[in-house]
Amino acid sequence: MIMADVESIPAPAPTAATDSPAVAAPLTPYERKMAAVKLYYDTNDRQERKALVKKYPILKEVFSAANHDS
Amino acid sequence: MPNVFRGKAQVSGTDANGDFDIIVYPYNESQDMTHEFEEDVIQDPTGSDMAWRSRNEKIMGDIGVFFVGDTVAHAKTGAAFFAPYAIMTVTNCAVAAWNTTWQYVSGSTINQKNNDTARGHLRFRRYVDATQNILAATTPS
Repeated sequence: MIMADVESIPAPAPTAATDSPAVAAPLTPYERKMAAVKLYYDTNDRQERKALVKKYPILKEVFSAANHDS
Repeated sequence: MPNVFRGKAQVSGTDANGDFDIIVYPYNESQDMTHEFEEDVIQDPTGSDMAWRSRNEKIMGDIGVFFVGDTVAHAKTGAAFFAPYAIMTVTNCAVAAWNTTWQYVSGSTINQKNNDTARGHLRFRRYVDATQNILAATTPS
């Protein structure tokens, strides 16, 4: 069962020391892609990987089906 | 342990600070780039080359990796092939030619041996022409 979710991964903290917004910005498309990629790497079960690819279509463009039998 | 340098400065080792965005856990053992372009060479009546036209200039990248990780699970999951034409964005490499968008191409390998750490080669391509490279990294709608 997949426990993690891309949306649960916090966005990077603002780096500017002075005028940083109090609330972290939502994930950009690039950050969302990278969060999904990391979830995929953190999943060693082939069926879970397959489910992740179904949940996050961007993973279809990143990882070969050879890795998850889809 | 950090290297200590004397004498002439150098480009040393692979890029420890480089960010190869879709390669998260494998560790770079080697980074190779090959410059390629196609050409038309016209010969004169005696068979000697007299005119040259290059086209389709590109760089082929070959990243040799160890499949290691902070955990056994990460070491294993790192041994993964990418989808055909997966896009990799590279930043922070010492050799500037790496720092752009790459397209995953055919020919990558994952190699295991009975007395060695598993390793592999991941192969990529990028075009020198910016417009052509953007096209290579664009999913048609």
